Amino acid sequence: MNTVLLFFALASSVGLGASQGSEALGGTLLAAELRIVRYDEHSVVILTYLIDRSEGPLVFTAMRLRGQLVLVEGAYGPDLVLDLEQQLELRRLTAPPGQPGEGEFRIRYKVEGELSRIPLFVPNAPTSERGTVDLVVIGATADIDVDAAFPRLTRDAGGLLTATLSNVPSVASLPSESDRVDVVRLSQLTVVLLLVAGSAYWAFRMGRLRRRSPQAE
Amino acid sequence: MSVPFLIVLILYFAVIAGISVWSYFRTETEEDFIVAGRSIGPLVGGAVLAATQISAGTFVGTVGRHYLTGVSWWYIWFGVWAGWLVSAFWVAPKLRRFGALTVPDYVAARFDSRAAGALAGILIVVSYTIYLVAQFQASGEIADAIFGIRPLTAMLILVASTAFYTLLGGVRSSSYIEFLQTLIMVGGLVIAVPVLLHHAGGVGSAVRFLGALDPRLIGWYYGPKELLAFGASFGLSIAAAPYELTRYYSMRDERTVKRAIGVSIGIQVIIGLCVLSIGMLTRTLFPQLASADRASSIMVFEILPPLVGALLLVAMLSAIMSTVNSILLVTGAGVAHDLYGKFFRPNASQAHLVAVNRISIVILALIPVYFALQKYGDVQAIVVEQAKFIASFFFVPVVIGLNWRRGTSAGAIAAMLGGFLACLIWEFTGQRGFPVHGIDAVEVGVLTSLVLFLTVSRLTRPVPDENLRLFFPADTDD
Repeated sequence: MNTVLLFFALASSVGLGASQGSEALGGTLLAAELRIVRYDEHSVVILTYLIDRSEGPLVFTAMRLRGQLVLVEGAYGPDLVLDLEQQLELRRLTAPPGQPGEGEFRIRYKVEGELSRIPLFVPNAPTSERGTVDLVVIGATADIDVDAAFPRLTRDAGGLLTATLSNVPSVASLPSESDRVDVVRLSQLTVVLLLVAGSAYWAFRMGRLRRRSPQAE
Repeated sequence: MSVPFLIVLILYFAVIAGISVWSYFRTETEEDFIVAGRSIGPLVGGAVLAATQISAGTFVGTVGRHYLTGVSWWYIWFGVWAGWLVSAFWVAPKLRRFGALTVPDYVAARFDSRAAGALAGILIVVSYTIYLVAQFQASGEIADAIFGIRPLTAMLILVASTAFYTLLGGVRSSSYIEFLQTLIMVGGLVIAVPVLLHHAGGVGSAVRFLGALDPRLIGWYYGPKELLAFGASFGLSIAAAPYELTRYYSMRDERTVKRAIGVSIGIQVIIGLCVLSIGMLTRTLFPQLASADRASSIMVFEILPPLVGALLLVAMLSAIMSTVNSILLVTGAGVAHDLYGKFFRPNASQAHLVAVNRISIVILALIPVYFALQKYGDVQAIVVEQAKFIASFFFVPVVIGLNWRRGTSAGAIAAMLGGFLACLIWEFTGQRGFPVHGIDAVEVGVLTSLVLFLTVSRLTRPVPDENLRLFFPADTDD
């Protein structure tokens, strides 16, 4: 039986692998700090990545969002400058070929226009098991609805918004409390209503069954 | 873990425990334990069929597959639904009319062969033990990602909690629990999708970004050959899946079974669309996860608000537990009813057989834990492989056997063994050339099984008429 089970297990590891081409990775992300500084009319984003670079191409990709202007002020790594490429729906910063090994990469850019969603440059380097991604939002944060934000943020006494994540998100969604449609709150309310309605229905049904014959289903 | 998570989890397990205890006091005979006294209606039945099929393979594996490869994986659902329709028209009515306790019962009666029934029982136990590996592996991933619990601990908790309600009430408790689990799964998914869409900036924004990231994500990551192979794997195995077929016996009558299949397909359409959305939206929000199998855990813990995340977590656990429960019921019955009860203690009492069934469930629940800890492949890969083997050894004896009266016991045994071995051998040899020749192991397995069934049946003695009368009306031709 163990031999048969082992054959199954090995077969399953062969099964789907052949059908997918895997994208080249630029390395492994060891740590990241994503800092968003909010002003009234613009935001400044400073991303710091510690990456254990592999031999593959290292690329940082960010969404292009409607109604927004992004000006990359600096993008560099250890002894290198990242090349910026702008496409219709995204921006790419590519590192020139370099030696594998650990290095710090820093990207600084300014965002103007639509400020409720801030695009973040994501490296093609998945986070290591022990790696952490720290997101910090500072500055004009008083009007940000923390409960509706993405990723999930916590607000400290000084108004600093922070999140500790396992991976780098592609965007930070920072809605203000005056935004009309609060999908997030509605979804939470729906869960509560479902639980209450479900419990009430169950209690009603059990009561009905008890009033009928004891053998009734 | 936050307070809302804890509250929802405790509530969920409390309700399950309550239903299990209620069912325990209504379970006296083997018929009560294995087929719930044949009392299940179409709505609960449909939810049971859906919950049985929707497992970690869906919530972890399929979400991960959509995360990695985009929209094209969704088309394999058509293979699944085709399999259900085959079952609805050519399998379910006759099986329900036959009214046995297990699928090997059908094999033994249809082919007048205890050996064929025993072989079916053994292959079912082996194949479904592999399926359990996928479920346990997924639970380990979830527990590690969300709770920071060691995978072994998570698996043992899963075994204990699922075995608890399986042991107590058998199919009766699992049916009502699976009805509840289906409601939770559908509710959780339907609530989660708008939240993800909101964070991703809407459908248009997500589609544009994904398309720019990799055009295959919104196009054809998989080609027709691959989709056909995967669709065939799932569809052919669903049409003859013992863990689904056995549920037909618990429903009231043939009409109930057909209606239940219709309900199940409707539920699957909703779940399939939601899972597609979730996988792709999670890719939009976190484009570089180290493992696609982490996508659903990341969604629960880092994207969704606490209550919705808790509901989805319970939905994922429900999916895993419902499938583990169904598999344990089938494999437990395979050991206790089909092997022990028929070959070792044919005169055993009902209470004795139920006790052996319960002991078998515990043992069979623990074996896959070891393999799950080794992580031989990703969750969806293991599920696909298991489906290929089930289809290869079981589709022909069940579907063709129910509709072609000339099938014999030698033909059935040859079909099961031949299909199983052909699939296994092709997996290690010809499968590597799939991108070139496009021939998948499931196609080789099912074709081999079919050829052997037809050829060997023609060359061997027909099954006695009294066995055939159970499945074929007097005016059915070959």
